[in-house]
Amino acid sequence: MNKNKQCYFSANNIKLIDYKDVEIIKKFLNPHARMIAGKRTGVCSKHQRQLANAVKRSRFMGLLPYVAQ
Amino acid sequence: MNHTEHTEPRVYELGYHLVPTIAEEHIPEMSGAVRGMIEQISKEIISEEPPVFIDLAYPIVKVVEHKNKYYTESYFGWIKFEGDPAGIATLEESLKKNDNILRYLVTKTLRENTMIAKKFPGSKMKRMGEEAPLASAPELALSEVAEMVDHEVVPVGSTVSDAELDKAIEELVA
Repeated sequence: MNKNKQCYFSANNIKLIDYKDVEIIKKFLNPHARMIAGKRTGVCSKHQRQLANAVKRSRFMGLLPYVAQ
Repeated sequence: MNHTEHTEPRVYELGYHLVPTIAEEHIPEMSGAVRGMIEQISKEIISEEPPVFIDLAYPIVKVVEHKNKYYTESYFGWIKFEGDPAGIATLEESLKKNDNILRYLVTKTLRENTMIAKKFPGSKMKRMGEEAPLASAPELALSEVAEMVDHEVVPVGSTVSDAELDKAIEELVA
C-alpha cells in the first residue's frame, strides 16, 4: 500500500466526512469492508476518528456492509 | 448567565429509507410527509435530496404485523435542516410512528455541503433515470497531471513538483 505524505481529508480540506459519501469511504476499507489503519493510508488521527464515525453511520444505514467477502 | 443556552443554530441532517413496496409515483408524497414533519420543528430547511432507489448492503429487518420482514432495497433520501434538540425528539417520535420509514438517522452536520463524491464523477449511488457517470475521470485527471509534472519538473527540482502537486490536488477538489 502506498504511503501518502499527507492525510487525504486534510489535503482536500474536508471539514466533515459524510456518511453518504460511500465512494470516498470505500477507499479506506479493505475487501472485507473493515477499516484500514490510518498508519497505512496516511489519514491523520482527527480524520481517522471522523472516518470511523462515518463508517458506523454508513453501515447502520445499509450503505456499507458490516462484513463482506 | 446560562451556560447551557446555545446561541448558534444547530444544523441537523435526517437520512431515511422508505420501504421499497411503495409505488414509485407515491414517493414524492412520502418524502413530502417527511418534509412536513421537519417543517413543524424546523426554522429552515437547508438542502435536501429526494429519495432514490438503492440496493442495500445487507438485508434490513422491519417488523410488519408481528412478522419480520427483510428488505434488500429501499428509497434513500435526506434532508438538512436547522433545529433544536427538543424538536429532534418530537421528530423522532413521529418518524417511529410512520410505517413507510424503514430506517432513519439524525446526525449533526455542517451548513455547507459535506458531500464530496459528487465533485468527483465516481458516485455509484443509483439515481433513477440517470446513468452512473464514469468512475475513471479522476484517475484520468491524475494521470494527466502526472504527465504535466513529468514534463516540467524533472529538470528543475522537487520544489516545483510540490507546487504542481498542490495545483493538481486543487484541480481535483475543484
